Amino acid sequence: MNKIILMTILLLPMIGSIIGYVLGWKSREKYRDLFNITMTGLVFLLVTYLYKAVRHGTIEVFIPDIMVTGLYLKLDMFRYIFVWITCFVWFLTTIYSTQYLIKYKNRNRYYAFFMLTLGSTIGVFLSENILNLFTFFEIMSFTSYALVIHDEDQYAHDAGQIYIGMAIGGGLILLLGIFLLFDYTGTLNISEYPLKMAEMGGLKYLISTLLLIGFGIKASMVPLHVWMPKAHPAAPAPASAVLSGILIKTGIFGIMILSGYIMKDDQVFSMILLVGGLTNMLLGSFLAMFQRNIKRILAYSSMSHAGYILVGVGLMGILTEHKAVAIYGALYHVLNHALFKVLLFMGAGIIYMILHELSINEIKGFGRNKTLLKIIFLVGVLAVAGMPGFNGFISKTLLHEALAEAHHQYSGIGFTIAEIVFTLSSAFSLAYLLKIFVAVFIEKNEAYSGQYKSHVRAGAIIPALIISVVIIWIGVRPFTVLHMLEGAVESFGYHGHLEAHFYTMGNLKATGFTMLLGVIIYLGFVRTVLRRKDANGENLYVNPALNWFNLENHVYIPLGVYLFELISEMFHFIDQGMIRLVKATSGWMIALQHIEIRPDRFQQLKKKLEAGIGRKPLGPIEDIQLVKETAELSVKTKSYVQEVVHDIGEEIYSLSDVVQRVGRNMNTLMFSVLSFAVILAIALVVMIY
Amino acid sequence: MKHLLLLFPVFLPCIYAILYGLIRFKGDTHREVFIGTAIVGNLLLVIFMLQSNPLPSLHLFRLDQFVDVYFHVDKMGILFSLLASTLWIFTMFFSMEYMTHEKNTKRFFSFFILNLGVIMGIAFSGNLFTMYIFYELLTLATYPLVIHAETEDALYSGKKYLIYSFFGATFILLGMILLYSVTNDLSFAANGIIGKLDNYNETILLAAYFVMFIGFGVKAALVPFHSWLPSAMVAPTPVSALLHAVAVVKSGIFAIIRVSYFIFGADILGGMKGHLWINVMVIFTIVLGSLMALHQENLKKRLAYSTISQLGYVLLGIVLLNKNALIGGLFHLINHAVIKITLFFIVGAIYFTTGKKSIHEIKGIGREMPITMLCFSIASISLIGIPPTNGFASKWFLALGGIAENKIFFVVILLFSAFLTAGYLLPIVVTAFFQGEERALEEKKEPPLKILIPIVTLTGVIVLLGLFPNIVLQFIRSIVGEII
Repeated sequence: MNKIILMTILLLPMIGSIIGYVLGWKSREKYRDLFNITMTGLVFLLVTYLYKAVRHGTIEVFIPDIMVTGLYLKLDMFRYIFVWITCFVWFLTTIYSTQYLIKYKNRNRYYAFFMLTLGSTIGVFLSENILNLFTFFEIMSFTSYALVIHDEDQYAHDAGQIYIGMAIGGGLILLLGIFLLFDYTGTLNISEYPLKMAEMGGLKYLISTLLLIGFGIKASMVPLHVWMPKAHPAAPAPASAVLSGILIKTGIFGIMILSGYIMKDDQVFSMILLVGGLTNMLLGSFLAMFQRNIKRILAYSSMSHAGYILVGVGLMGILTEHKAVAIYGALYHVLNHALFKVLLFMGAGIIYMILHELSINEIKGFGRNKTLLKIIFLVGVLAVAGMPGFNGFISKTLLHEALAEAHHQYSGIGFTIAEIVFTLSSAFSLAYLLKIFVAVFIEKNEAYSGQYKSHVRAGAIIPALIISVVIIWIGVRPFTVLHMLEGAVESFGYHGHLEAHFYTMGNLKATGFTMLLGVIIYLGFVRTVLRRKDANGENLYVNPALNWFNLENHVYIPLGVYLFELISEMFHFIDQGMIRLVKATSGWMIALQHIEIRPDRFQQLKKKLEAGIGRKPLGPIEDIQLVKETAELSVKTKSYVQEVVHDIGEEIYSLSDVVQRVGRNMNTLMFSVLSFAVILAIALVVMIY
Repeated sequence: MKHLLLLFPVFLPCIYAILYGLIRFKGDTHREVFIGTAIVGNLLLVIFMLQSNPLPSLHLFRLDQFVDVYFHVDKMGILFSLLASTLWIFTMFFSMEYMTHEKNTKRFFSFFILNLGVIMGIAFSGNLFTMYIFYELLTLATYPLVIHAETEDALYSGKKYLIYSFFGATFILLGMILLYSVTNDLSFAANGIIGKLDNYNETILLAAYFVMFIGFGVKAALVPFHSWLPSAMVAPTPVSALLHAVAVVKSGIFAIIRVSYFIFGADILGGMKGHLWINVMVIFTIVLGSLMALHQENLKKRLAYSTISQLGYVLLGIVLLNKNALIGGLFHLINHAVIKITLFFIVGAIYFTTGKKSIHEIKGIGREMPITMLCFSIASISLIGIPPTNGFASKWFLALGGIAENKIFFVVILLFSAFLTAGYLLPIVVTAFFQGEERALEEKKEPPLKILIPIVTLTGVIVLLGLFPNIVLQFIRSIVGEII
């Protein structure tokens, strides 16, 4: 029974996508919207229903003889966390979409791909066979592409191009890794890797690097993050919400599997993850401060939070004995980030829905009179910043504890820096969030004085409210979820539960310090350095980072273009190589034929006469009549001389001329026969020897 | 008698072709029924013939060991003949509609039917000599199809095609003579005939293999002998689809498989190290094809270069000389045939309904022809090798074969080429669906049913082959099991 439900969870969105598409065909959009909401709701309910069964044991489904290697699905607690949050968020986002997309074109296409993306994302999380995982991963990339470019304007297409390009490239690198992995371990089942990989030597670092690049692109790891700040703002808000909230998690999920199963908490690899995570954290939050488009700020913020999770995953391997806190932290943050980031994107979407503008210079003061929207946004902001009482605080505390534990274990300058980076990023987070919040919801702007109030629809605001409630609920009662996570931690070979204290004096103090730092950065940097007065005396934010060194424009694109040009040139040459060779050979042959057999008796005469023709007419002559006559005469003389030269040329015929004439008259068939004969002759010679 | 049955699929189409030329048909319906009988009948004949046990074989004419017209049916031949005759049916429906736009349909269909017989001849050849004869016939019989338009350009391309083909044929003949001087036998046998010899001159054998590989490689569009293929795209689309994605190029591949595994045998070739040199050419074929495809504006040319690259995959599967690689190669032979014929059909359908040929013209065409372009997208994704499509299945085995040879390099090349494949196919999809301005009243302009049905059916085959490849894979495994 549970197996059937598991298959249903995977297939329902995919079938629903097709049915929804057909339903929406003949402008029965209401039914389609309702149908889609029901579908996602049903999937969510089914997943929730499975909770009890999964707590008691994993559910596995294996279907052989399909997709080359068979389909092997598995649902354990670790996967359940991901699946559950996916379905939850998707359900709410679908409700939200029905409101958001009302004025959009191609709604039918959007829903079809939205549902397909859901199905494939669930597939990624359910796969036990790593090739199945890859399959769903690729399907997800393709279907989400249609979401990214939904607007079909130039910006969306540019973003889509880099998105799909990196997705495919990453996918292929991932595939290369999987090939190697399969070849050396002989298995595709993820849970069998820990045993098999243990015997492998240095090669496992090559494999893990390949896999890390593949998953890292989706998880927006530096320096593979360039698609993200472009793709997320380009997509419609509900799509950005799931891109940021969930699709990044597929990359994270892959990296967790890579670190926890395939590499089995390898120290070196974990260290790389830790450093990568810290870089992501810092760079993401730092760059977010500069952005002016709300969605882009949120995209960079997602990048930064992917870094938090990666730090947790990295610490999992480093804290060999005491890794529990790191796993809890990472998984908890996966959940929390999905919640608050989706909430914020929904908020941004509501603003965009009304104003069609996202730059905070344009929309400042918009939310001053919209209490509900303000509250929702505030919840999101405080959750991201990690304010006590909100869910972000819980997971950040856990992660910070893990980092402190590592610092305690391996006292070194490295971990001190890590802690500084951690605090700094959190402070940056608060700064960029304050930037949005103050500008949009607190500052005054005459243009917006509450006239759009009726535009905020219930269908859009209710999902956001639900998420806000969940965020606060988790913040207040963190142990309920922690209890849920216990089963998931067991998947990584840790048993027993965690003694965690969240609301302690130390934690609160540390958070307070971070918050203070954040406010200082906001006041001292964001508001002063990044804000200038324009000609009208208005305060506008500027983004000096636009002109900075940029990986995409200064490294990837030039490198790609030059490499492409170079290789293309080379292959163009080869492409025409055969024809060129033949032409060149025939050219040489002709040149060879021009070597005259006769002595150059006539040659000199010919040359002399030719030189005569070539010479220009005599100097300027005044009389027009005379000029005409001379011209006529010269034409006559010229043609006569040419004839003579031609005659002489005819006379110098030689053997080569005959050959040349034959060559000219030879047609395709004769040429073929001739080449045939030549090669036969060669064959004969070979045979004789 | 049972053995004589073998001759029907080969020679019946030839008779049909001549009859078709002679009979004056009263109307289009009669004409189409005649063609349909010829082609569908042939498939039925093939299937019927394959029921007999043991599989038929027949010496039609025998002068000595060398000049010996010998037919023999084996699994490899079954694979190729079934593939060709099935796809012939699809193309037949397609061209019945498509050729209404062109003149000289009589000549076209005559040679169209004739070619089927020739391909059957190649599939059922029992020795190299017979195969060589049909191989030459194929060149001659396809020539009128290539120059169908009779324009300057077409004639030039036809000339190029002939020169290249005969050049290749010459090499083949040379190889045959060299080979015969060593073996005194040219018949095909699983595992090769050379292994049975006591002693042999390795140098001559190597030379023979090399020369024959190049010779057959010309038809298989091996770089640097590929240039005829993009030029031959001046032919009408059904010809490009069938002959230049399936029949002609695949007969080159098929012949290479015959030579490699049925004359030489994997062990001998592996021992001679001859395939190592060929690897280089194959790699160039793969990369050059996809890279050049990126530069083509004309849709058909783009597909033609893509064919070159994909044929490189199949060749790679052959020359790696191990089981997985050969499974991948053979499977890709089928997959590529199905995928590429679909892509060509769609390009033809676009040309047929709108008269558009190049990429920048087809902006937003996905809105006018959604079903057609959806099929194009599926076929493209499959050709790139994104799972769970059939293109992925074959590349999976190819890559495993590559790694088994301890050469990650091959896999990297495969994946690089897959990336380029995405680079030249996806823009078409994106341009078709997501670009171009919105028009108020979208008029659906799907092609006529005779064109649409083959396209949709073939797309269905692609999806099915991707999801449930095991039936075909089982058969391929049994072939590979016999010859390696």
